[in-house]
Amino acid sequence: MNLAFTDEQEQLRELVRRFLEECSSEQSVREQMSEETGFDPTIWKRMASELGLLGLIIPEEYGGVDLGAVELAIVMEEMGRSLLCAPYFSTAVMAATTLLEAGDEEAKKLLLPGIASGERIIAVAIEEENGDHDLANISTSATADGGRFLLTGVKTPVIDGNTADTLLVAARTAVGLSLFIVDADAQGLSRKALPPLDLTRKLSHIELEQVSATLLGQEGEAEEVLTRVLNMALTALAAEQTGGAQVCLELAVQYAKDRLQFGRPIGSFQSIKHKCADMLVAAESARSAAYYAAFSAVEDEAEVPVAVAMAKSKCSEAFTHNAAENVQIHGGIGFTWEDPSHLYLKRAKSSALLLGDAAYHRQKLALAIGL
Amino acid sequence: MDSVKLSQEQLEFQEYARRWLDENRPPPAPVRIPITALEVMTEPQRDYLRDWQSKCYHAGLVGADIDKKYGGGGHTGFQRLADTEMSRAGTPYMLNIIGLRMAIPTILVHGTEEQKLKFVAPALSADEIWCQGFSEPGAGSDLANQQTFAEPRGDEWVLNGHKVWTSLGHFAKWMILITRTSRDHKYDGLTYFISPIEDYPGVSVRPLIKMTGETGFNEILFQDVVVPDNYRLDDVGKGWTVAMTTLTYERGAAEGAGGGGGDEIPPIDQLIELARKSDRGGRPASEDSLIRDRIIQQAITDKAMRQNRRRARVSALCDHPMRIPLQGKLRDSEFMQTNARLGVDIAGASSTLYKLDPNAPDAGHWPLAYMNSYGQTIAAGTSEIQRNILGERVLGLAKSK
Repeated sequence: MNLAFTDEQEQLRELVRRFLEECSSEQSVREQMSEETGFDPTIWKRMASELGLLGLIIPEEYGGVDLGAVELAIVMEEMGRSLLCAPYFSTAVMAATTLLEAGDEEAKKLLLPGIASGERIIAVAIEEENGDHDLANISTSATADGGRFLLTGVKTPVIDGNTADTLLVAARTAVGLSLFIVDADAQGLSRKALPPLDLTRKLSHIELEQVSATLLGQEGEAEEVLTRVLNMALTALAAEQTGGAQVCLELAVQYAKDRLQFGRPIGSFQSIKHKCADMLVAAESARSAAYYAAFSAVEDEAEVPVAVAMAKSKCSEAFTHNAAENVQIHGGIGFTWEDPSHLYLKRAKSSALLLGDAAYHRQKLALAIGL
Repeated sequence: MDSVKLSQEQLEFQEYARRWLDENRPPPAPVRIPITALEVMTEPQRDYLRDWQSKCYHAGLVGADIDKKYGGGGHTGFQRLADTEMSRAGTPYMLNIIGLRMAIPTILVHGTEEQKLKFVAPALSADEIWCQGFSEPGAGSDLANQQTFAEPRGDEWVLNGHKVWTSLGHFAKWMILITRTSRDHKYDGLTYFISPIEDYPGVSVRPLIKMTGETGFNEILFQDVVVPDNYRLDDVGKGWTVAMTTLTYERGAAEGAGGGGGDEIPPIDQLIELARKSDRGGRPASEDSLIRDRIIQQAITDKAMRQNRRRARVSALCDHPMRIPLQGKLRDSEFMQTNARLGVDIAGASSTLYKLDPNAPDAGHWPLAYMNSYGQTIAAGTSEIQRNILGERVLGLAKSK
């Protein structure tokens, strides 16, 4: 496996970084995070039309640009750096992957072009109130109703569930765990915005009471599909965390150079310098782990479960560590609303808990390597 | 799994090394062999390891990338393959580690043609063992505070001083050392020498006992030791620059030219195996969720370190050329320490049995490895010094004083 990026991939990174510097400045992040919808539709459309980012992993026949996990990791890392407020992770990563993996041609034709063009926002609803990440414990039920199904259950937290026009819901039929397409306005569906710790990523609580739904893919085969979806989602999330961990390092180092106390830069004190050194080490191992997961997805499928569990665990810890140390190094100013340090700390903490925390993924890794 | 595609020649060499190691596996050691070369204490240990290094050298597995005229194989990109195969085969480590990892690379960078021709080949074959004289009683982390004085006398130098923590000093034929040649300049007053050690007038080697009870390192006193000027490495006053070259290799931030092998970071499998056979209230420790979590944290760190090393070889992935290599010493040594501490914890109360007790798990390997791990986090620049280096050289923070 060659952990090197091609020139095209480097250009993609450059392009995305420049776009986000313009469109996801701290000021714009602060504006969007205070809104309930949490994103700017104009920027969302530009991400689709100017950069093709929304259809990044969608094949050309459905309106996408047909790139893979490595390019996705690059894009997510850049988005993580800038704390982009947009339903990218839910729609362009999780929903697109779910539709691609479910093997339902009709659904692909119906929904993927709308994702790629920026017209649709689709959320994937998997987790439930028990807080369990194990797909075997999903209890939302689906009962056959003519050619359709009726869904009953509670899904929470659902990322971008409130702004989505369509939901992809995991529920259990008599045959087994299955996936369904649900119109967000369907009768019997109620959703409420949850106040998120991380204001840059909106969460929602969704209750389904006999909601009419269309089967997505084969009935009873969602566990395998969702396992692959989660692997891709976690790979992308780990890359996003890597971007965050790196920015926290950069912010802390810059502050340690600029801030004077006792007549010298605080970075000349070993207590601060050593924190920065440890943040560097954390950022680099996060990056290694995240890239390893992305390259595994493309080049070594057998390694994916190990690489993904490792990446989510390592990147969650690295980002949380770096975000927390960045606050500490900034001192009093770091404790204020005005300073951006808290934005990263909140993103770090909530990302670490999304889709299974570090310890959860270490348990999975233990099983994957036969411990 | 390498980032660089191997040439046909390299693939053939890899195949050859694998086969040779398979066919020439050394006989079981007649005595216990310590965890690393730095703990080699006795002559039987030395003789067994010296014999093995010599065989490997003559088979082309040591010094493979070094110029033929200095006794090497004259190849490119062979040594890493040989090292990997030796690790994979689980054969013994190279005894002359200071020669291979520090003296040879330093001599190749700074030495004269005459010095290269004289010193390199016998170090590769382990006919001549090397030691390193950097630390002194007053020069630890403040390495430039060297007090061993070298005074010029015609074509010779007269050395007086005191070196400490000298691993392999009791078997060494030669030492690489820093001396002070001027008291007027802290850094520019240093000069780097090669000094004879074994049976040399004015040199006395005294064993120091480590907290493990092992010897294997020493203090070495120089009393009017006469060293010819052609044993000086690089210019008078350039000792600090030469020492930095040695340290770059010692800390693993550059690949030693001589080769090593046999020192692969112990695989996580060892910990897992220990957890399976250690008891926790009637069940294997491998079923204890806290133990499992700690093992997996180590497994992840191990894997991330390997990916770091792989990434460090792809220049496009590094925005600062030494950004990743300079983290190696800190990460490796702290990883080893955590690993050994975890091994002690997994073995539980039976780890309180001292090393070599037949009743102790893995013959007492874990407490011994744990105690010796402090050698790694302290030697070659403590972890604190490594963090200073990362802060100052990679991140650009202001000097600490």
